[in-house]
Amino acid sequence: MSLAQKGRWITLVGLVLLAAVYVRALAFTPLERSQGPAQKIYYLHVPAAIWTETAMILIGLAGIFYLFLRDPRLDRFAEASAEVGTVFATIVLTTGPIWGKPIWGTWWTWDARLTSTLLLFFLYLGYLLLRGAVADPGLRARYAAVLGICGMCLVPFIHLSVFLFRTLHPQPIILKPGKPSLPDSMLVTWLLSFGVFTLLYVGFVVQRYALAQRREEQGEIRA
Amino acid sequence: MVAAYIVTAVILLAYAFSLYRRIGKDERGPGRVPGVSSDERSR
Repeated sequence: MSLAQKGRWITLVGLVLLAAVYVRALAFTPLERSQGPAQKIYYLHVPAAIWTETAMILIGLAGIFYLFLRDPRLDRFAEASAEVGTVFATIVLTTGPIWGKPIWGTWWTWDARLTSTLLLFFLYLGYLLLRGAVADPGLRARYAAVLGICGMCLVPFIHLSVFLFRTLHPQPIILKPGKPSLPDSMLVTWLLSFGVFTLLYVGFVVQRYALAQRREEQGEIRA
Repeated sequence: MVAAYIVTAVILLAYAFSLYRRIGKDERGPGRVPGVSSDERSR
């Protein structure tokens, strides 16, 4: 089985399990008393946000190692992770306002968490544009590695922004010191959703990595 | 709330399909003519 096919299967399993998470979240998870149905967006928004940030951290780490080792596999992984991170960032930036409208009364506000997440999304777009703009593979990988490291430095700031600034955005419920402040039934749904997003991230990255590898091989044959 | 679930599903399915198509296109190679099947080309 080729790498692309493995990725395809992981993605397929992830998408089927996502349907199961939808059923569990919408039909079998209790409503939160103060927020009502809008709180259920949490089961998609937070796992997508965690993987948006983790993907950028992995891009930065791959960038650091690439600058030392010059291994093209690291650059290929960073490229794949950036594309998947952009997809997850799009989910974060669309589900967030859909939650914000009924809870805050506005789709968007320029507070620290929201603005820094938007900045991360633009960084992802810039990263992909940079990769598309530089023709030389060695130079492209080096520039991308540096930009990836800059992106990685932004991630802790995004996560801590709710502690550093007075923001409208809720404080972390899962990723915080101490126990998660969710009842067990909600926590199980969230953990299942997080597992599914992890599977989807892996499946997408494996497929995108295989695509990049094949294109490089074809480029070498043509050259 | 339902809108968020629909949007997420659409984004994930669209990306999965885009990867499927790009990898498929790549497997067929650069000589493929859009809209012309391999059977027609061989004829």
